[in-house]
Amino acid sequence: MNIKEIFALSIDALRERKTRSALTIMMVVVGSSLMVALNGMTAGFSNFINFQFSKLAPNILFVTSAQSEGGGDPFGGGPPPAPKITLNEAVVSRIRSLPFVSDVIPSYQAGITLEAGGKKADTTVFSIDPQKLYVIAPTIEFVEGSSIRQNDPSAILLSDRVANPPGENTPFAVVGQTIRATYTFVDPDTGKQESESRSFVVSGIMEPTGNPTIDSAVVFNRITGNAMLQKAGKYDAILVAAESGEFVDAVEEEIRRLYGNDIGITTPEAILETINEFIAGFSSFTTSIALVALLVGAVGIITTLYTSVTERIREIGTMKAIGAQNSFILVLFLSEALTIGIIGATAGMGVGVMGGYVLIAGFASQDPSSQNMTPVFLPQDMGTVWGLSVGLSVLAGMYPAWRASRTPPIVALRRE
Amino acid sequence: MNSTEEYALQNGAIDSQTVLKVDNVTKVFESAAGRVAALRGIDLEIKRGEFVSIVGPSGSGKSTLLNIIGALDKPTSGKVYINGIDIFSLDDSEMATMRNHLIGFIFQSYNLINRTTVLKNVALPGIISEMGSEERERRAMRLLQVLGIGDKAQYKPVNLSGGQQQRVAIARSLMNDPAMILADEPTGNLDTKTGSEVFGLLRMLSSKFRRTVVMVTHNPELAEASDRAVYIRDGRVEKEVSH
Ligand SMILES: Nc1ncnc2c1ncn2[C@@H]1O[C@H](COP(=O)(O)OP(=O)(O)OP(=O)(O)O)[C@@H](O)[C@H]1O
Ligand SMILES: [Mg+2]
Repeated sequence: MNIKEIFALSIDALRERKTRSALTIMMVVVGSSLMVALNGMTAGFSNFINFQFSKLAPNILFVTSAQSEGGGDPFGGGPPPAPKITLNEAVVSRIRSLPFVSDVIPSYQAGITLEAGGKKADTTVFSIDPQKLYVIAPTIEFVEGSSIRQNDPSAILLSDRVANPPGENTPFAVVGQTIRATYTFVDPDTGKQESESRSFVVSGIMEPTGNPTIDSAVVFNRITGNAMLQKAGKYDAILVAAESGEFVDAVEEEIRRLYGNDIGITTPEAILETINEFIAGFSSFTTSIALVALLVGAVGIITTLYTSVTERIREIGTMKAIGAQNSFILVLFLSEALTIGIIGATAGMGVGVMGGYVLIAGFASQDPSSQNMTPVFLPQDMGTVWGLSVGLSVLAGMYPAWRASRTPPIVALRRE
Repeated sequence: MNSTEEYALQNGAIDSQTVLKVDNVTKVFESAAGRVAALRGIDLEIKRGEFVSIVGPSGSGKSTLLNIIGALDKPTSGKVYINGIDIFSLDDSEMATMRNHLIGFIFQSYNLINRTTVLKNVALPGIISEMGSEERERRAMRLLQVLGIGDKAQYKPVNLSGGQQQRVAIARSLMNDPAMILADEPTGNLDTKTGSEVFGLLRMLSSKFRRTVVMVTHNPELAEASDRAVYIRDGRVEKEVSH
């Protein structure tokens, strides 16, 4: 069969109905580019998050008391469910005595309001021994002029996010400035709302570390935390540093042996796994959206070619009258579908790559910490999408082409 | 040797013999409106190089007969032989090959492909028979020249007059050197003058190039100018007149 000539005939046919062909090609472009863009975006996310996590200390376990389930009132009123275990100094020293544990860092956490020069900001305080920041985030750096004072009860460290709020052009506070912190709580005895305020001097500002607990928080001394945050020696979380990353599992097992499921243990690896699972889920969700778009494109091809077959039925009859085989007609229409698929899929690759950058830029504009996130386009992924688009196009052309090839010549010629 | 040449040779071998034999062909159309017996037993023989007109009132079955001769439609009963081959014993694919090599169709409404050039239209039977592209172009061009429209090769058919379009269709029907040219009212859409020009070309094909032509017409003058006129009425051959 004269494939080259058949292709020339199909391209002529597509040219003759420019608008319709262009619209059909566009449907394929939408489907394939959406797929490329979304794939590129999620691959970019995944890369970015893995990179961020690679900056976290791999040897840290995050220990909290497990909340007893089912307690409390479904409408959010009433007391919070009681923790199953109280994280106090006794727990700290038991964990400290476990094998492979190199350090145990107890912490308090609470939401507080900061006031500086007439401006207010709500944030989270992470109350630990400031020196231990180096254990939790080994890559941590501070802006110039910062000093990390272990036992200064009135020193406060601000994360860059708090000191220089995104989207504002003046800093919230600078090193050396005095700021006021207020903690509001409900007195367990009287049930009344009370608040406790203290003044602090900003002793340092932390550069972003990639650790979300630190990057949006402020840090002050644990003694101050205990008093101001009304903790009475009950820690919110204990950070356990294993001797190295490879002992994390062993330490987790040891802690479980002591406390069973009354205690919650999170490792960076587990978090990463959860996030990656989430991304995978998100990715298959977006892929299915793109697949639907691609299927819509395929239906578009069916419609276009079917209409074309109907309109060109006389031409089909004429071709058969002058001796065209069924296979000639079949290939003629299939090659129209193939041409639509190839042009659409190829353009879709280009549009998809641009779309991936646009999508990622959209996300990054909402979260400055992800500024240097870029989409990732793997050649084999793009190849798969291209092949899928072209394959689906040809598949969509199958039915109209088959119909055309099967029409008896006399029927085709008689139709007006 | 390509198959076109083979057919041509075969054609030569049976020179002055029967090209077409129609043997007791009937055709009944079954439709929602009822049964129509369009052909009720047609017998016909046509010799090589003959120019035969088929004449008759509207609805008498002329087109039905021509379509069956050209293997576009199947008879309800009876046989059709072209160059001695029982054409309805062939399968679909062989029948297509036969149409491509042995038959040249000319339609009343030209049936050209308007999106492509005149030259490509003429070459189409050669594309289907997989003629080499050089030979194809050369042959199509020569046919256009013979038919007096060599200068229109790169035009689109829509930009040609009716007479010129019908010449393109004639050129296309000759592309693969068929044993027989079948024309269903080829002058039906043309004015008298253009019509007689086109008829003149068909006549010349027969007299000068020894082509077999079977033409359906309503025009008694044209019928009289053929070698033989076959009169059809109600699906039967009423009379045959040789001139
Ligand atoms: N596909 C069909 N289905 C039903 N009846 C048909 C069909 N084709 C033709 N006929 C009928 O068969 C008869 C012969 O039709 P045909 O087209 O062969 O006539 P014709 O001699 O060519 O007429 P005209 O001179 O008008 O072209 C007519 O009665 C016509 O209505
Ligand atoms: Mg007719």
